[in-house]
Amino acid sequence: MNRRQLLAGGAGLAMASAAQAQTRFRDLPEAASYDSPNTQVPPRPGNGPDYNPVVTLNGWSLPWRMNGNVKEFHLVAEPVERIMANGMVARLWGYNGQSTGPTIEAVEGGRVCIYVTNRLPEHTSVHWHGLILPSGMYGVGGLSHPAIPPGKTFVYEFDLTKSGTFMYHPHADEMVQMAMGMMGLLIVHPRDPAFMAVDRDFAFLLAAYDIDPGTYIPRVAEMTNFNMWTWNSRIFPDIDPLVVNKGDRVRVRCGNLTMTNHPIHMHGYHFEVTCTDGGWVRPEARWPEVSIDIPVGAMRAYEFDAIHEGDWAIHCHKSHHTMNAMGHDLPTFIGADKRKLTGMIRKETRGYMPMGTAGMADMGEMSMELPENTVPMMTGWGPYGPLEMGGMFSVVKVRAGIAADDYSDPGWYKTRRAPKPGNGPASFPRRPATPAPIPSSPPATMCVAVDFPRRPARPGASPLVLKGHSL
Amino acid sequence: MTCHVERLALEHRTDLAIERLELTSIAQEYRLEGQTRMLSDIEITAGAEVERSDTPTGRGSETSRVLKASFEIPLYDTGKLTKRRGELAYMRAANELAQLAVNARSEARSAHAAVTGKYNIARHWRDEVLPLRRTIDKEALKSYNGMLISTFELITDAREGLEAELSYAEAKADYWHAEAAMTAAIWGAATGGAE
Repeated sequence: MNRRQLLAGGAGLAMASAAQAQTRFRDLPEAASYDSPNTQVPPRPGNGPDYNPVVTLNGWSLPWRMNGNVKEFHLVAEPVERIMANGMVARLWGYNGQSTGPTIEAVEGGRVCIYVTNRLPEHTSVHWHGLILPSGMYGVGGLSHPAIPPGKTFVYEFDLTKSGTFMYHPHADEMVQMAMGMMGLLIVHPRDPAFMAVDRDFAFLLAAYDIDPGTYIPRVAEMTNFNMWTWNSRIFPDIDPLVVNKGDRVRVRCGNLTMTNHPIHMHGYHFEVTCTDGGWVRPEARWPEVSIDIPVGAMRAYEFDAIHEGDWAIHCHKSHHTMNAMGHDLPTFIGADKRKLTGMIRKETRGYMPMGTAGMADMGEMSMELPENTVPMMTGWGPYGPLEMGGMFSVVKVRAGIAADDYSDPGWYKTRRAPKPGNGPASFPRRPATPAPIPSSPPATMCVAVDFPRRPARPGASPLVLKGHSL
Repeated sequence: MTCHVERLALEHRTDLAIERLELTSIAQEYRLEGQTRMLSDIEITAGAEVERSDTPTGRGSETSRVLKASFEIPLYDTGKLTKRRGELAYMRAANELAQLAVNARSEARSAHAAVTGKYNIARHWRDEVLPLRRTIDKEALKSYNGMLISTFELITDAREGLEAELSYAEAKADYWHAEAAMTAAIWGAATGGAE
């Protein structure tokens, strides 16, 4: 029971003597904190068994200290401010200054001791998702052990029996605390560094939030209509790219703590799931895929050889998960003629822009004033125009000649034959790049006669006119 | 100030002036003389000098504010009146005048209460509601820009904004009507006097 006891914060209540409690409290490993949303690439371990650290997208790995042969960490559960993207701050609960929390990395066969200090206004616990542990260490408040009251520190100590991809999250007031952003990755590296070795090892957690535009705190009772689909509590366009040197063996580890599944799709490659939160997948049980469905409360790690140079999109294939906050009740205006209406509305509401009559791509191009603390629902610019994405979207950037420890953004990939406007697939008339005023003529450019060869455009008329509505 | 309005009404109302002339003419008709004292309308409504008011600590009372110009009715030594009929006619007219004065003050108070009330309502619309509506309109447009709400909701917001403008115009009209009614209460309505 030694280390499992709740340590009183400075006041030794249940301890044999106050002096012992003081000593123990001073003995806690330092609680490191990170105040930046940028990816911090962890250094290779200087002592102990060697491993190749994971790169947590827009995250970091928790520092530790060795106490004999026990690896000691100090997690602090606390309110944090997370920059989800430039222009949007979320007031969340997290660990050690960030949400998601720092990645805990250790090596198979080792013993870890994780001090968890609760600086939340309510009790919490830490559940070590996927690890094989003694029952009393499993972190279910009330079942495994009493939940950790505010202001107290609990000590989890256990042996790591298996290597693999795991995560941690509260199991006390679980729905609220996870809706507030409490989660983190736990990576157990194989004892043998040659086993399942990769050159680059990326990791992120899927988390969903419902933060009303103009507000800062997630609605914790939301169950279905989330509007922020995040990787490590970060959204496009500010999820860091996965930078890879050509020829690298690459692993991407992904855990799902949202309330729905996510088909993670990566362009440019075929790849195989090599690991789940239940352990490594035997080679004969793997099959090639381009989208990997991450079920709720599950983790997948897939691997590929980065032989194809380029900028390869990686995203959740649920298309509304690659959008930022948007109205869920927007009617379809495609084909509607808003010109007369626009004039009427502008009498009352100056600055009104008709949108949606030719799809919603207007949104990606215009930059209009939005409510406070809101990122456009589709945004981001690439070398060839607006990306019109959001949420769970990033880019795998494979380049030749990137140094082993270099994860900095190499910029956009230069396509050998850049498409020129007017040639090939880009031959459609370009949409005007500036916010379009009400067109003085029907928006005929959006409808090319070629699409409807049986209805050639009459000269001087819009190509398609149905009951007075120009399409 | 209520008593200010009451004073103006007592000074200016034509119906009071007419009634007062009436009284004078009765006095002259019956050749009343030997004015002994003045009767003010306050004295007629004995006890009115103590006003009740509800305070947070309970029901308290305070002395009536003193009118700057009191409304006085001359009384004569009726004992010397030679004609009983004259005495009765005069006292009747005097009491009627006093009642008119009481009513005039009451009307002035009501009119004043109406004016201040309508003024506060109109000012609330102008200083509180309309700025909030403008904020709502601005935020609605921003939400629309972000495709968080649709054109229809934007139109609904704009309509509610227009309705707020209309309500403000109505409140302002109410205030002007009350202002006119108070002028009438001070100078006498077209019909003149108590209805």
